[in-house]
Amino acid sequence: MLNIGSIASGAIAKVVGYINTLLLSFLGEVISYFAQLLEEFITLQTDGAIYNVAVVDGSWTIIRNFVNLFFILALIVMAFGTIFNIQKYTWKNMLAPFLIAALLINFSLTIGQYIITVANGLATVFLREMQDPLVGGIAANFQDGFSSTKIITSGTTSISALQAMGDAGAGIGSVVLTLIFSVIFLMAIALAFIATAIFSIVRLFMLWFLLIISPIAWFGYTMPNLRSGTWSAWWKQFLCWCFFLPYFLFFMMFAVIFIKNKSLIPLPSTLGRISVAGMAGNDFVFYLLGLIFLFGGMIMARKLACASGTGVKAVFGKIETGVRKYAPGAAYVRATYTGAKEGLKERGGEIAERGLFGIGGAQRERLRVAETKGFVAGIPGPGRVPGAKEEAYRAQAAEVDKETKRLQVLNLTLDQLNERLVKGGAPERLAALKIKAENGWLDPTDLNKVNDAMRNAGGGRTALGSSIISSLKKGKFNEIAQTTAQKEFIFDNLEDAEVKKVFGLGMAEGREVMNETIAERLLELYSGDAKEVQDKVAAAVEKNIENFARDKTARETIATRAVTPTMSRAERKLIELAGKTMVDKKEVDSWKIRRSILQSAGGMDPTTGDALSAEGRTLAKEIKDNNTLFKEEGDYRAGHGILPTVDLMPNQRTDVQHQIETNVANGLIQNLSTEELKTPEIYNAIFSINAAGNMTARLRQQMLGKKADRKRREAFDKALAGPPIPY
Amino acid sequence: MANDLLKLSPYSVDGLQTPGFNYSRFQDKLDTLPEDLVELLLDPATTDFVQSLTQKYIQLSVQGPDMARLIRDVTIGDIFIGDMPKEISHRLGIDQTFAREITNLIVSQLFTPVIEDIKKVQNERYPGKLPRQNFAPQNSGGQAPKPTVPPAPATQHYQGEELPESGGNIIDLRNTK
Repeated sequence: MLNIGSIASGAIAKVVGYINTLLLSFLGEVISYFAQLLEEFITLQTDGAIYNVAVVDGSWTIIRNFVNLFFILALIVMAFGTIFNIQKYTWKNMLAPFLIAALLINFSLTIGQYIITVANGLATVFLREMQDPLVGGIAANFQDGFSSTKIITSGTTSISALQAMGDAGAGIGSVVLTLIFSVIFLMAIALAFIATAIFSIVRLFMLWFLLIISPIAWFGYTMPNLRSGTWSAWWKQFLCWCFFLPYFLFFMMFAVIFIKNKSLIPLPSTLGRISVAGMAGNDFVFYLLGLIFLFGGMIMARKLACASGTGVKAVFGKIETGVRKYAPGAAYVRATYTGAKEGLKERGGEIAERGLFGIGGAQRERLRVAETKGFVAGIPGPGRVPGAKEEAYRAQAAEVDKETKRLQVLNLTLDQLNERLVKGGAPERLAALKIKAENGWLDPTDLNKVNDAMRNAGGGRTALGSSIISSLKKGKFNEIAQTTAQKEFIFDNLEDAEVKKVFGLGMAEGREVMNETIAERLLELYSGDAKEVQDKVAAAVEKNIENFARDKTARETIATRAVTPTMSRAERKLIELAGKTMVDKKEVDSWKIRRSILQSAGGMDPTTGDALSAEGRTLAKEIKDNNTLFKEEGDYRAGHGILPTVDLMPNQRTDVQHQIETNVANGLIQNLSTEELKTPEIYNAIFSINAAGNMTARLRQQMLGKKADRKRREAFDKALAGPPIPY
Repeated sequence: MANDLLKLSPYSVDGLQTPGFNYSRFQDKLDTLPEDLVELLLDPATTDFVQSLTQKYIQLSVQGPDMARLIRDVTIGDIFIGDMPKEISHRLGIDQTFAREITNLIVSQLFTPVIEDIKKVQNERYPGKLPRQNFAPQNSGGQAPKPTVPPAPATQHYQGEELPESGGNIIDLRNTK
């Protein structure tokens, strides 16, 4: 009887087997190609691609001739340095390096070539060890060691074997897993060869370039201030690129030795029967050793050949990061040099935590439990669990924090973060947003993403919401946009109140609140917060009053608005802040403004005019101390029994003006501010004194004070010229 | 009249309503001047000095505002300090010798405390025209006090008298320190 299950498994295994063969063959070709490329370039460099390269010799001659011109300049510098006794540039300090450089610049190419020869000589020793007359060169050795056929033809992965696995009911999962592991291993090998091949190519061109510019380095030796930037930097780079190759070949040699002599290394015979990642166990061991030497060699060569900060190290760093980030088997690549155990453990842990292909994973399970709890907690009725919803958000926040840490380690670029922001799972998306926010990489187009994130986080008051807000704060969220219009748009369109508060406060602290409505809305948003927080916000908003109430009249308009019972707390606060600004700017010049300010700051006694709150009393004192007209009017009111709640009649204001004129003449009024000079009574008093022919330079100095600035002078001259301001 | 005294002030002699006077240009100039020179223009002592000149010299009795303008123009750099005698002679209609004497008084008694600032302004406005040596007004013995009433005419040099060693120039090219 036909077994249908067996036939189906056999068919699937066949298909998987074909895919396997195709992928592994392709990777095998890639490895073979890059191994040959590596060999070609290494051989080329050790065979003397350094000498007699016409383009290098020609370019070097041009540079040398050009640099020779500058030796005249060096002589002039030395002459001036000696004349002006500039220590570093005197002939005593410069002559010896000058002569050495002037002489040896002509041999700079030869010196450079000689050093390369030394390095290449060392490299040749190791290279020779790697070449086997029977097997061939490096590429052949590696092909022998890392051949994809070993995987393809090994017992466990051949088509028939896969079919057999299917027939035996091994399950399609294990067949696919074998395929994935095989591909990942070969990709790691391919990456190692690609990286080393690229470096062997780059080395050749870097050395050519360094040889061409070597005259500049020698000239730099003569000039003390150029020395570190030219001479030292050139040598650092040159030695680094020179000796990278022998060091690398040294480690590569071990890889080849292991592969060549694997038959001599005793391994338990049972190992050959064990299948590891689609290979026989003993093949796998050599495969792993070769890989470790290849990658380890690259890293060690870099450390040994180059001091930190050189180009090689920087480029190597980038390649390493790239490998770590992009290789599908990132954990395996890390395993090659951080220890296979840790790497495999890490990869296993990653799969266990996040699942594979969107299936399974502890994180998903934890979130599911948390969401269920949250959902249940949200249902009204007896089933409600107090605090369960918040617990659910806390669980989410913890997951997002874990994701954030994971992504931070990967050191992703903005593009990569954006990709994860779109394609990642929920925790990954939020983590990517947090990292973007913390790095200050958000831009106005991310507005919707922030809104979505806050919605998903259950608002700014949940643990997750607070965590996002703290990231936004850290990255100076309010600097997300460049223009005020953009910022106002963002403020208007942020959905979550807590985020809006943070953004608005940032705007206020940066003095970017340019319209009254935003100021008022910001005060309104914070009106439910603790008093200290409200005070902080009020102080920030106060600094912005001048942005939308640019002159005294505009500020007065706000400060003297009638306070009604229907007014919101924010509206009342804004009036109070406008009044405070006027006090700070010494603009309170009438009892009417004083009355409004005191009323918005806690009220005023209608009979005595005293403030009813401590804050009001402080303001009242400042007003009195600050403004001469106010003081004069106060004295007049006191002398004539006029209540503070009553405005003065025009004739009474003229009386105040006369009183000011008298006090100016008596020397009681001095050092008037610009604002005071503009107040009607004082302005008219100055005009009147001048018109009567009583204005003297001494009186002017008394009223202006010494060192009067332009604004004050102009205000005074304007008053002198008139005409008077009608009351 | 007290108001006339304001007309003797180099700062206030011309104001917002004076025809032909560019008030805002004047204020712009003051903005670029050293503080001490602005203060000199505003100082009541400067007004007193001009007034004393008008009282001492009968020829200048009605020419106080012109004197004030001249001091203002030299201070803000509109007139080269070396041209002062010529300008005074021209503006006040007096002879060269008397003009030189008045110049000498202004420099020695009014400008001495702020001479470095005056030199700076003049050098900026007329580069290379001032001699490189420190110039000092005649009879100055270091830092002079605030401008005071000029000495009696009898002690001054008059036409026909022997010229002082400097030849009567207001700019003494010798280093007097």
